[in-house]
Amino acid sequence: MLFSAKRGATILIPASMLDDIRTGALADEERETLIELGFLTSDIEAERAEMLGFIDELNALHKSLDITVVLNLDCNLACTYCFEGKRKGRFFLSRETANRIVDFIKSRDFTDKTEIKATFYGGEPLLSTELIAYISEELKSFAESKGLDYRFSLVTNGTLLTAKMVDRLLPLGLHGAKITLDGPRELHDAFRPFTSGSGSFDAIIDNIKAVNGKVRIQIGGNYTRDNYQEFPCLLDYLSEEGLGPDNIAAIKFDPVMRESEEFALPDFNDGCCSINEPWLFGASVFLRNEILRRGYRTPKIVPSPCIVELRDSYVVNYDGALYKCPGLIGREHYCIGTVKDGVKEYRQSHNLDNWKNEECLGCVHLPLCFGGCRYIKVVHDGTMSGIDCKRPFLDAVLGELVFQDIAYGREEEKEERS
Amino acid sequence: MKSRIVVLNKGIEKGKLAEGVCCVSAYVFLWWA
Repeated sequence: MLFSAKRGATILIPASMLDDIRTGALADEERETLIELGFLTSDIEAERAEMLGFIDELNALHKSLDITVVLNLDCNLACTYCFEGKRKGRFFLSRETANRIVDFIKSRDFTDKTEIKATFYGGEPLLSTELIAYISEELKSFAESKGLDYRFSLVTNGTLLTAKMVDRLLPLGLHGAKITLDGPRELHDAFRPFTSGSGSFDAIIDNIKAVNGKVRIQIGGNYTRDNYQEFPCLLDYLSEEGLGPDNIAAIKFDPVMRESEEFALPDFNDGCCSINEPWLFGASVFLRNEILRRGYRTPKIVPSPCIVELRDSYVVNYDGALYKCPGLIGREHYCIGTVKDGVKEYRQSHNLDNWKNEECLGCVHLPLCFGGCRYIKVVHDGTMSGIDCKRPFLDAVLGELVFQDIAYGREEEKEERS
Repeated sequence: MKSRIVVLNKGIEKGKLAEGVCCVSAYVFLWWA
């Protein structure tokens, strides 16, 4: 079995065919298939040039302007590992800043664009519902005047995502919501209680059931080395409660990452510092398998550059400061401007093209890594200089992940194959 | 001649990839399948 990281394609060939590839004894049709699917190149230099221009090509093809709006840094939950950490507080985006965000978006170049996509994030974005409505009304109206589509998604804890809330937001462009469930009830409630201390699990499940069929729901979950084995119980519970693969758009679990001292909560000392921690190899394969074998969807193994490399993608903090990644908010060095004054040059500060070196260009995993996660690099080393190499992780797990996609391929893909 | 290649997964074309390109790192809330 061969896998092409450049395109995420998988093929099965007899071992003897490898010799024919090496000696050039392939039939024309076979050669064309291998080239088309990214397994073979007749010109190694041309392929190198293609890889060097890969992200530029993606940026040129990207049809949407993406904006993530951090509406506030407040929350009705008190998660033990809160990603915002010490940044959390009663900080809310003002109407004045909302107007500047709208003006900033209107000032962008929409040549070759078909859509404006917003993601409302926090804190808890549904503590700022009026601003979601206000910004969406403005952007929807602007988009329509330009012949563009507008839609938005929420990254929410799910406790306020009632049917009434969804009914209000759908006409404004609500497309989907990503909700976090950190395992089965007991585990989730220990990690994600309300600020009162009571559990949030049941309230979230009730809401997911109530909005089921109205809006696309994706479920994320954050696990640790000590609790990941309990996460499959959550999947079984969802199925039992009528929230099976037909009702949930996708599920993905990720490890809790440790924040830098500057922002980390003083009482939380768990969390990993790198995707290359060996326990994660088994944990990530195990959990992905558990998701897929129950019929749920999860992101496929395809090329995935770091968000900072995406040209038409911005994150705006509640105070109007612009960043390239939500993990970087509040880090002054990585602020790339403001919605009032516009975007500054950030190629150097964000070490764009960090993967354009001989080691990365010679790595079989390049399209699945592209220098890795800049945020992790900053947390781990305090700088974006260098790369966050995923090679140890991908060497250990890629084969199994590819097998999973084949074993649990969707029905339409199976039919296509047969 | 019958091709010896069995395509298990065609993968994704760049145009399609660019449509849904998103952050899929370990630290993430920004993935949309």
